[in-house]
Amino acid sequence: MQAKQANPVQEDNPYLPNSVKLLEIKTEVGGPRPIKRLKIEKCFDYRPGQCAMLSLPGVGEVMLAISSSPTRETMEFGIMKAGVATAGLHGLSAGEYIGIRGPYGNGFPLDSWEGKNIVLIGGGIGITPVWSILRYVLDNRDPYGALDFIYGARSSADLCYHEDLDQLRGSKELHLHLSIDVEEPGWKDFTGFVPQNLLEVSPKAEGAVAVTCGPPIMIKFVIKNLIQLGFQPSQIFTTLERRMKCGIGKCGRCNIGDLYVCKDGPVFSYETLQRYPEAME
Amino acid sequence: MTRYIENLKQFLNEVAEGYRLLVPRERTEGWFFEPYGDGQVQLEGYPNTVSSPKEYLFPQTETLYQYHGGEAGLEYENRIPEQTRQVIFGARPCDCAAVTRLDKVFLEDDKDPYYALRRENTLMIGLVCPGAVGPNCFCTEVGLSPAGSEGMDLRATEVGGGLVIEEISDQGAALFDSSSLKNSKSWREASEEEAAEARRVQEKAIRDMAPARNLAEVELEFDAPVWAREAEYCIGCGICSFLCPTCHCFTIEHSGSKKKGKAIRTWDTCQFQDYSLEASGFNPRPDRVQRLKQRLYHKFKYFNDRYGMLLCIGCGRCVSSCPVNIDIRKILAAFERKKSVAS
Repeated sequence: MQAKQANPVQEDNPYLPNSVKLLEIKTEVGGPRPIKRLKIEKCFDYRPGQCAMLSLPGVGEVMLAISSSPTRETMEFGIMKAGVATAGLHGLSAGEYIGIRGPYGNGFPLDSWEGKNIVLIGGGIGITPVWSILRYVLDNRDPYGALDFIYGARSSADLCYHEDLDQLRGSKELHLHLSIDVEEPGWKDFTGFVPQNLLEVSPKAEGAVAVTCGPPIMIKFVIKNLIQLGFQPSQIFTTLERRMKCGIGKCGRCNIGDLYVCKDGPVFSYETLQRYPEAME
Repeated sequence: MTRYIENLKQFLNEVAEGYRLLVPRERTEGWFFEPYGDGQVQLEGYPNTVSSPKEYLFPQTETLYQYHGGEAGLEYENRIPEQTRQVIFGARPCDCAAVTRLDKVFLEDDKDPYYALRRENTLMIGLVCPGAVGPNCFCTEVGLSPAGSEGMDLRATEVGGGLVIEEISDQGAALFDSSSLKNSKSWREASEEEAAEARRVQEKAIRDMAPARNLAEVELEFDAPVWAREAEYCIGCGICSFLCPTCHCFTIEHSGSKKKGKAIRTWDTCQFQDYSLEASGFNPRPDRVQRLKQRLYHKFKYFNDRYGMLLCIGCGRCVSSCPVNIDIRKILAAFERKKSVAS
């Protein structure tokens, strides 16, 4: 036996990103909390609700929900400028390269939702994982029942996906219910918070699932109103955000109780989250 | 085969011919695991070390990968190091048990290739404690033993000026087949009396450390007043985590430019405020009460729920090193499950 032998094992390394070229980067929302939409080639298969770790050389990594549908040939992310990594991504142009690794997390159980009505409720930048479901269901329309899309932001200028929403407005494939928080001249849809708009729409609980993503305070009141509308905790799904570094349940920081958001989430049913008092604070 | 080593120095010299050898050694600040190097080893008065040998499996800082950026994109280069086969000699049973906890985290599901390579190339020769070897030892209170063999490849017990060595794993037994040890005079088969004496030493250690309480079966309560009372003194220095043999949390930091740089992994701790602080400003654990609670819940509930074992091995390092005397045993005692009247 040869001792002191080197073992240059170079097997699959879950921390190592792949290089990918930016196809398009487009401003969706301007102002002090800008949101950009970033498009790349599809690097791997994924499910709506799953995430990817994007990395910017010399700056850092950020875990983001994939906002596109796996039925499409390109992948998209909706990115709000917040920390150093997202600020760095905002500064990029088409043709530049970033790193990507993933997919991470469980994703939405879309197979088990076949035959059901789907109520999507999104607020602000929380729209991104919901957008992935919307796009997926529109590309696989047959197995699913009615589709309600309830989406709001602070003002009309803070709504993402303007062009797509304009196209969807007349569609018979879904019911679109937009809202803004405060009154604006010329705004014809609902004015008020997303949870109020939900009560206005009053989707039927029977045979339905509801998905809500957005700021924690919005999620809290949306869930309260869904319960009021007769939804059971097992019919309500949301995604959680936590700071992440590894994406594979090792670095420790994204836990909620014994669950890791990166690995066991980010999609959780409200039935599960009720057992974790710290999850919804 | 149970072996007996009379000449420890000769044995270690022979191990060092084929392996990188790490041994406990006294320095001004206390005892640490260090490369065998100059061939000095001293087991007399050997207390528990200041830090566990964790760093030889999971270093405090390591480069995960490097990258080069150019016209054609980013080229990533693995930095999984070539790993020398190593032997950690003299690790206490608690520190060896800690390695089985790290194995759960780093080897199950998505295997961590950096840890896995080191682990595959590491043999643990554990050393039975003669009793408590640190001022705050409490392994028996968390269900472990001063003579336990968990995580060991070989178990050494001090008997009559030498060491009785028991085989715990096949890899441990195979150490004696390596070229420098195969026909060596540094070891021989242990006599029945020596093996029996080793058992007596082990039993005495277990007796001497009979647990006064059972902290392995606690029922933590999220809203108990003890959390805030203890956390009031916490200064968030993180030394409890950095010296903990089972704490495994880390951060990945990036340095360099668009053209060239690297990703570095370093130990991190849930006791730091920015550990869970998000870019949005939201922090799920904004105060030290929640952070202290997180550390103990992870060790005594979450890890147990996930892997079926506690993430505390009772070495007492966090107690000994805490600058404000926070004692996790005292916190846990508040949640000790009451023994049923019948038992």
